[in-house]
Amino acid sequence: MFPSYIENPSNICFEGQDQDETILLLLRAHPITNLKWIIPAVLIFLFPFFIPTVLVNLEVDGLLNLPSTYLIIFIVINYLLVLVISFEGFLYWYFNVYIVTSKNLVDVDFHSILFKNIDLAPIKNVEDTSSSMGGILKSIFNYGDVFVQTAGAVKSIDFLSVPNPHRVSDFILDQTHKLGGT
Amino acid sequence: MPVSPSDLLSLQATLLFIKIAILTILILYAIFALLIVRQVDLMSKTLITPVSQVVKAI
Repeated sequence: MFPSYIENPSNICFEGQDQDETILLLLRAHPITNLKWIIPAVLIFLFPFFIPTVLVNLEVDGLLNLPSTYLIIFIVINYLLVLVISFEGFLYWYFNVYIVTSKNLVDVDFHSILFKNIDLAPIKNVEDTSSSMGGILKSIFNYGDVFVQTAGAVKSIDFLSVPNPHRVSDFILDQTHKLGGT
Repeated sequence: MPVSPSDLLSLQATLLFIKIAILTILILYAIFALLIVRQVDLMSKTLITPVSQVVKAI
């Protein structure tokens, strides 16, 4: 439903896209990288189920004698926290994208709330590309980083944790050669 | 066992503290929700996909 490697995507465009510019490749971090927010969200989701047992074992079960309204509010706040973590995690994953168009390389980053950074580099300025894949998860799920050196003001564009890094690296270089770049 | 006045006072103080803490958390959550709305708007304008509209609606 939410792929992280899409060739020639339809129905997708980005801010600043030219009329004659087509998106050739859209990338985002591999879905497995979402585990870093999914695991805490699941743990916090399960928290209310375990806390009574823990409090009884620690003999501080006086907290369970609070009025039921308070306990309900604690549970509501707990699930609001789960909602915030899940929604934020999804937003960052979904909207942090790397785009290869017929003209440019585009790196859209949202580092934190309300901070947006877009790196743009003409594809004809690409000098060389490299890809790296190391670690257990990266090897199993075939994802890694692609580093693109350019001749312009933006010295390098890094595509982090993208699927098929070697293929992406080769794809970018092929596009550069087609446009008569390095 | 009868409840002494000092115990009752302590309980009321604890409940008041919890009430203030809950209100603070909810106010912070409201501010955070506003920021999220702004952020989703910014993100949806940057990358326009069919999902962007759904996320915006949520």
